[in-house]
Amino acid sequence: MIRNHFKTAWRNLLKNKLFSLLNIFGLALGLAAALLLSLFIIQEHSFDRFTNREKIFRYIAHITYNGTNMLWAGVPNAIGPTVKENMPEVQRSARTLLNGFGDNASIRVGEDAFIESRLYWADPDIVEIFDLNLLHGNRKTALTEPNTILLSESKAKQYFGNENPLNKTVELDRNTTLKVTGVYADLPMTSTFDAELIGSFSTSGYSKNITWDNASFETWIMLRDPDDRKKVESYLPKMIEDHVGSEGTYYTLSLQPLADVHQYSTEINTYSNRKGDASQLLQLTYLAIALLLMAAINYMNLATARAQQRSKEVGVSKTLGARRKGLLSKFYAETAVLTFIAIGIGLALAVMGIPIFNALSGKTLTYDTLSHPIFWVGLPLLWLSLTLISGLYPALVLSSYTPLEALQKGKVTRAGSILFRRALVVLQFSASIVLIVGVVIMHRQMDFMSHRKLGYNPENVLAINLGSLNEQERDALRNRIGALAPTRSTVVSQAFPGKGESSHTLRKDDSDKQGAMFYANRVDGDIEEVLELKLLAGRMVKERVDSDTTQEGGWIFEMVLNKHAVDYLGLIPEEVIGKKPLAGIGDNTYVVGVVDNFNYASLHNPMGAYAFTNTPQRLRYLLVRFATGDLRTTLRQYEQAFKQVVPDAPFDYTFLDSHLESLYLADRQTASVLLAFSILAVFVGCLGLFGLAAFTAEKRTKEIGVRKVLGATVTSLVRLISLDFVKLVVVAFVIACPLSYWGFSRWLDNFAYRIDIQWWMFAAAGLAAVVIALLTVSFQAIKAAVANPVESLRDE
Amino acid sequence: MIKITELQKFYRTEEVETVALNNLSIHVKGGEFVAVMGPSGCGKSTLLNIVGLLDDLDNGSYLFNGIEVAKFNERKRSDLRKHNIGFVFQSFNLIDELTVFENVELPLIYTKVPAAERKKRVEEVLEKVQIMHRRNHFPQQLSGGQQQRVAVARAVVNKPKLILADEPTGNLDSNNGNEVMQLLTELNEAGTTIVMVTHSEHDARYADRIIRMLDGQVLMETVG
Repeated sequence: MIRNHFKTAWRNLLKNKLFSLLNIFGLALGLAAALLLSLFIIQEHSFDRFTNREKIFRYIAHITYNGTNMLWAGVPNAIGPTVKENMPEVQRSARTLLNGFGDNASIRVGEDAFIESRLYWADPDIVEIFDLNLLHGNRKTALTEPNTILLSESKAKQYFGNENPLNKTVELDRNTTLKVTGVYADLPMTSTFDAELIGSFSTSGYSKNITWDNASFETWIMLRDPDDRKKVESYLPKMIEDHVGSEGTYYTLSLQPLADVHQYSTEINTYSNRKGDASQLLQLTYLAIALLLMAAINYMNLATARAQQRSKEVGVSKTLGARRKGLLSKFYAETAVLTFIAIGIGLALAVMGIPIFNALSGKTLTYDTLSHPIFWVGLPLLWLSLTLISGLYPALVLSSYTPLEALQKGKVTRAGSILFRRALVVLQFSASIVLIVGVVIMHRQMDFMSHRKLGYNPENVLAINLGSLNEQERDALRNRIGALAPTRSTVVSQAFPGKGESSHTLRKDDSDKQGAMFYANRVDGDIEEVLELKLLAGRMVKERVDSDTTQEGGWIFEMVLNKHAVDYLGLIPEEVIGKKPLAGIGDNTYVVGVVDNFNYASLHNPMGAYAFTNTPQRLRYLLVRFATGDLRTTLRQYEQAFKQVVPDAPFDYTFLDSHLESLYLADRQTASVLLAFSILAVFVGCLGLFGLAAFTAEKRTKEIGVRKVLGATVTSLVRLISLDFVKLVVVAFVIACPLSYWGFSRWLDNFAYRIDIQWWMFAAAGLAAVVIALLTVSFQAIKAAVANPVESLRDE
Repeated sequence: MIKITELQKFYRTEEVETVALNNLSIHVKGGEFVAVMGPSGCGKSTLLNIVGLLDDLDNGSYLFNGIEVAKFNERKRSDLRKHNIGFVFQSFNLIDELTVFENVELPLIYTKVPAAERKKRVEEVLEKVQIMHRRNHFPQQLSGGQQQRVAVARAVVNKPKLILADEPTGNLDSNNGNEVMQLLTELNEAGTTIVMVTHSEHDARYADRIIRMLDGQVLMETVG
């Protein structure tokens, strides 16, 4: 019996090649997308699977600053050792510090120089906490001495090839020699702790000065027993009270279990960029289920449309004594064959789609996830459930025909089932239209952002990382580059818009407790020329600082405020010059000029207060405005100049406009993911529509025949059939408009500077849907309309 | 074998009620070969459907082998049908996706005959209708006469007591038609009861008795 079922299923598949193809392909496509999402979901759930996972925690600082609350994974460097000393429950404790608080490190190995962004300074216990697999070196002593470093396996290969790097040396930032004391197997992509190089904590200058203030050290601990968490946490407030006093602390502390680190850290300021998002993951899970359902619904739709052709088979079987149960299992067998093939194709598509998925979404899905047992346990379950869902409606409908109904072909008309299928198509088209509207709105917003006047010109500006250069080298480099033909102007600065500024609080007067946050950027030169800023009053800050003649050893500093800061102080630009506002950057800092507002951060945020100063801060970048021309030649000239001044440091640079672009990377990724899903949704929707059209055309064969005999033209018949479907799309449009307006208004609210949603965006999406629907339907409509009426009438 | 008394059958649409069969009574004895004739729309096919338990009746009584089956539910009817009744249709109604062998095998599968036994019986009956050489062909690859012979084979493979034939020669030329009628006669001679609906006086002559119908009633009966 079962064998028989599969046999008919297979033959049916071959007989209706077009239908089978559409059906399988539609299912496979939906499955591929759902499988990709599941792989990603599985990967996200397999983060940080270290041996002692249950026992590992990190400190979180709850910061209240400027009236806003923030969460930092960085805590003061006194915390780790103090807690460990006083709480025997803490077995291990390791402070970590990302080199230069996120600035690239330059590493020299012999003649070669490398730019590294993932160098951490860490206490020796880090080896045990993350159970590092040391391929070379002694895990007990690996990080105990100052000026020692562990290399990840891939870095060791990159630096030393196949040689054993143990006891060899590397040079950091041209001033520190580090001895290699070990090599560890690369941490997996699914590790939040993403160190490629680990230097001993005692090497770092920041380890010498133990403070309760500078919250920059991500500190991991391993407890003897996970249940001790409460006990350790209850000690933390007491410790702060003892060492800092209740007044003046701006933070409280808590512990975050490693199991929560990956998915529940979106609000936490951390070193690692490998952050997941539990709520996003949940949305993706829903999306995966929705995609599966949509594919399953499509299968139902196409299969039921074919019920007509299958009714004879049902009738005969029933006449011969088949029970309903037997027919149910027969149609289920058919669905099972189909879904099996679809899952096979879907799996292949998903595997091929991994790089595309990564490129679109900016995620890093690895092939390793394919070998996860959950995935392979899940696949058969998926097959089973997909078969049950997809096969439900066709099996129920087909098996419910009475033998007489089924044998008298064409008599089977159930208002309910047609309504159901129409509802499905409306649903699919509503989803498609919502997505199309989304694509239009997102791309308009992206367009808007890239064309918006920022108040400065980020194009043709290069920021060269001065990293390890001393003052003489810096000046020499600036002179050399300034003398090159493409250079228009240069400035040495602490930061460039959106990267590297220090934040301070600007207050109107002593009674203004709240104040306003502003960013300060030390510049040494004509930044208004380099960034093309508009000076509203006064002048820019001088390169060199004046000494304060009224005070022994005192200095006078200068600052230039932007319009926003001046507005906050309640003054006009001309008035503020010569004043000393309460800005917390030295008592002797006078305003010498005012510049117009400019968007120093992404357009997600409104413009705020900003200041250029000449207060003593480390200067980290040489900003160069260059003439348009052959970029590659220009860049080569600059690199040569750099190498002439500092032959042993790597040439590390950023273009301001590409940095700006990177701020919108997440938005672009969202937009491209949405585009991909829209195409998928439209395609799947069309399959459903195609099925319904084929069904209707067949249903109305006789009507069309009669109309033709009575003199209807092909055009009028095509119009007659197509119009029915256009109505469905119109209904879908009416449903989709408010939904998409609501959804994408919320998305646009993420931007301080945004476009308005306009009527034509809906009109365009609606029109697109109608055109796509007509193209899909017209094939069937024309086929039915041009058929010989005698044929269709004889069919009775 | 079949005793139908005062049978009534209506077809209702939203506005009109059509009487298909009106107080019709017939009696068919076991081993009889009965032909039912009459103009289109007289209710012959409706009667056949009711006799075959494919359709239900609105009023009256239907005794099949002495058992009242008028109120049987679908499941009981299906049981009764698959063990007792074989069908031959004008349009053959073979399943296109199954081969000749598999089509004929189908009723045996539904009555849960073991595979080896099935093979034996199917081959036997295919031999009998002389279509054995085409056992692995699909219906579309056969001529009309061959298809109807397969359909007859399928109808008799389960050794039913009753065969219901709805214009079995309606889609066939006279040669093929005669062959099929010959087949039915042989079955009848072997003891099978046959009720056949037909338009053809020629075919009706094979029957023991002819029931002539008009407007849902029996007009007259003639013994052949």
